[in-house]
Amino acid sequence: MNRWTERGAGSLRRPPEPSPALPFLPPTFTGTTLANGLKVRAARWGKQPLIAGAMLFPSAGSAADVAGREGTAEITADAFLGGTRTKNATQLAEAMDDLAASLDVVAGFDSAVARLVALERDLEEALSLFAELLTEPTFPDDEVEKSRRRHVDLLREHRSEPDFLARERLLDRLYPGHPYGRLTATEAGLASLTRADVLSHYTTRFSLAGATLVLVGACAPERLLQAAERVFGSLEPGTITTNGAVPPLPKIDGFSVHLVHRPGSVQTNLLFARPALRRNDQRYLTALVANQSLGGGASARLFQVLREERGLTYGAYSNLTPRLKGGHFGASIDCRTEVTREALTGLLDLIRQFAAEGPSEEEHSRAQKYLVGSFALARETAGTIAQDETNRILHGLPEDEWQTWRTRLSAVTRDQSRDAAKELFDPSVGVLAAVGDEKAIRAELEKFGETTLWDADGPRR
Amino acid sequence: MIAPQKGVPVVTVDVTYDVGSRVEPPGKTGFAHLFEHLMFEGSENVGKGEHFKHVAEAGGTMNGTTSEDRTNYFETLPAECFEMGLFLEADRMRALVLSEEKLINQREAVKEEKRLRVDNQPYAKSFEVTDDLAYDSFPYKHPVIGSMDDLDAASIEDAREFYNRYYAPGNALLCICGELEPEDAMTKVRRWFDEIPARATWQPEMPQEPEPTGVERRAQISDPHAAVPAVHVNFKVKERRHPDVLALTYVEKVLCGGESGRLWRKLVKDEEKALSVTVTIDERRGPSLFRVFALARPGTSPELLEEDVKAELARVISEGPSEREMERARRMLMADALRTVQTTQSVAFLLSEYGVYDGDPGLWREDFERILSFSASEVRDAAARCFVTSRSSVVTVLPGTPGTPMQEIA
Repeated sequence: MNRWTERGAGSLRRPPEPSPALPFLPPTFTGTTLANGLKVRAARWGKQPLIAGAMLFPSAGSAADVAGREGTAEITADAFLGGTRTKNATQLAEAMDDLAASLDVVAGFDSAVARLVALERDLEEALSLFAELLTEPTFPDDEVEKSRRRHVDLLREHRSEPDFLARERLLDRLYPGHPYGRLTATEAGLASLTRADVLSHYTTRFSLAGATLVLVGACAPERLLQAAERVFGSLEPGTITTNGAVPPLPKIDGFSVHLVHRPGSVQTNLLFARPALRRNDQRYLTALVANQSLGGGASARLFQVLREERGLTYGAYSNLTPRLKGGHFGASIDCRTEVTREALTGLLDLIRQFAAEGPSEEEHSRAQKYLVGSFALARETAGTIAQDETNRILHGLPEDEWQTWRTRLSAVTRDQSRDAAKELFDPSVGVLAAVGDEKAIRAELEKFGETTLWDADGPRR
Repeated sequence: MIAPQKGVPVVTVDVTYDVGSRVEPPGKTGFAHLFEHLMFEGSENVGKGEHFKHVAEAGGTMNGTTSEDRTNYFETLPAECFEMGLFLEADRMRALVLSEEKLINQREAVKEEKRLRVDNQPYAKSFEVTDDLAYDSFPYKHPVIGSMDDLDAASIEDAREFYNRYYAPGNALLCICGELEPEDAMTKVRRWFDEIPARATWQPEMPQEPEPTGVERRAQISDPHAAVPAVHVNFKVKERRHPDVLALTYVEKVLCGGESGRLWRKLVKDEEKALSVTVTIDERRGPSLFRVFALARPGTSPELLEEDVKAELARVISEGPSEREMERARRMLMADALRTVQTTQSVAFLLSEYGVYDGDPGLWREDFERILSFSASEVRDAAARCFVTSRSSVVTVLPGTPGTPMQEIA
């Protein structure tokens, strides 16, 4: 007898019930503060002999760039690899690669994070090199210049990518005049930036006293803390600078359309965004569940309707981007030029309807189950655990943020999710950035609102 | 194939079918990938749209990928829910439900994917040109995504035939990797897969790629989306797992591994001739491609970059890697391997490819040990055999006039 073909009996016709849920708790961190003020947090995670490290410098993001010197944070991060007191750029690169360690500094909007991945057996040596990179960089003039020149050329290259153009224009119009509105360094900032700006940024924003070092590996946290103490304990603390300089967010009124002309585009790339919330907002978790129902993946409403039912796109999604001082809700769809109006109408209508009515019971329950279950999937590596911890610290979230995460997600109700959508997703306020061929889509876009024309490198002249 | 891996309570279920774009005859390009899309559109006990929903409700993620050599489908799930992956994979292996409507719908999604990833992106088309130039026989000459005309011509009869032939249980390998009890996992596998009826499956007669002879192949294209010139310098080398191809792993590290790679330092960092340079070994069951791709800085021509790339390759042939570079590369390979085995999904992919291509997933370890054992002179000798004019193909890309079509100049 074949159970597949036996009609009705069908134990194999229905999806299986899950076994009882396995416990999953991310690790708790052990911490200490060194004499110089550096905070160190360590946890055991993973099964492989790899160490993931992250040093959070909370005030060293691009939001701290001085006006007229936009790009300082980005160039500084890059120029760390320009050399240290005892090593030129090549020697530093070789020292890193001899250990097969990856070390870099990445500048975000609200912070800079120095990252390290190394073999566990090289723990002390890799940490020493990490310390040297972060506390003894020399930022040689020619290396800063090289980095600056490369970023100018990279910017030119990026502007040939439709996705970059859309994101650049979207942020620029969503946060006009604000550091959050700059996707990357600007030509103007790069043109005037010098080594002195890099040095000033470094000396005021990369102090150990204001930083937190996070170390995660498949070994006892005490071992990680002791290694950090030995390597960093006797180093100078530096000067703490708070991030008070970030200006308040500009207010957005109404709905505006911005068309970036890209001649010969065979698609229209559409990005919508509107102001939403900062990461430590009480409503964040609820908004996350609501967003999951609307556009969090292939099972969510935007994808199901716009791709699976209507074949308008390869993918349609929504997202939340929370930052320290504020954040936005966004949605995206790429479509062939001819159906631009149809796709955009579809996208905005679905968002509007969701903002008014919220998710169905089925959508809400699915979104919740997905977010709860998938939490473990994203945490297979030590690197993600280290990143969770730096995010938690940056945004001032409670110590048990990740331990209670799944329980709090499970407690979000459909009504709360609907209320969050109503407050935060309504598309009557916001910015739409469209990248495509002006000739083919301008008239279509103008039906949605006042449309401003842009070229790849800025305002239409 | 069951691979227990303790750690985070996560399991990846992967089914890899022995079918890729290489089986597509002329006129049917892009079909293997289009068919991959249809596999998500429902089967006897999974309605349209439900596949995604079942996986999401189980707290999992899923996808499928098509390459020249194989197609895989996978779900990564919380360990307690991994049976959901078995149900979904078994149901579509046994009784996929195809329809004209689904075909039309997914054809549009795939055409949009092609526009998104290829037609509207700088340099993407030039990668298609590299394959067309390097390979002589059709299987590897055409792109996985196919052509718009061929996608438009795909019929529901094609889909039915493709499914019956290539999606038979005998043409698939199931791999489950993660926190599981092997016996319990095997019981569940048997429950869902045991009674799927066998179907006849056979592989097509694949045209053999001739050994390269003659002069270097060259093409130049004008790309209207590109902002800066670029160059591909490629070498058609032996099939994956061939000792020469394994040895090239070192060349990849020496040229572009980490921060100190010779090409990266010279072209990007020191001499500021390139915006970026990448070295990859595009390993295939037939001949593989050793690829170097560089974007030029203003003032540098693609020809100049090409000269520099070739000079560095010639230096590997004449001097070989230094002992320090060999040691560094070994350590990097070790770190790469540890990173790979950190996640159940990457382990499942690795084991499945060896399982499908070679019939023995354990061979990856053998290959890894073998790579670690290579000496500098063996690497040098392999480089000398691989980097010869007859294997070489060069594609230069010049920025075209925006709004004009892509042009092959020569």
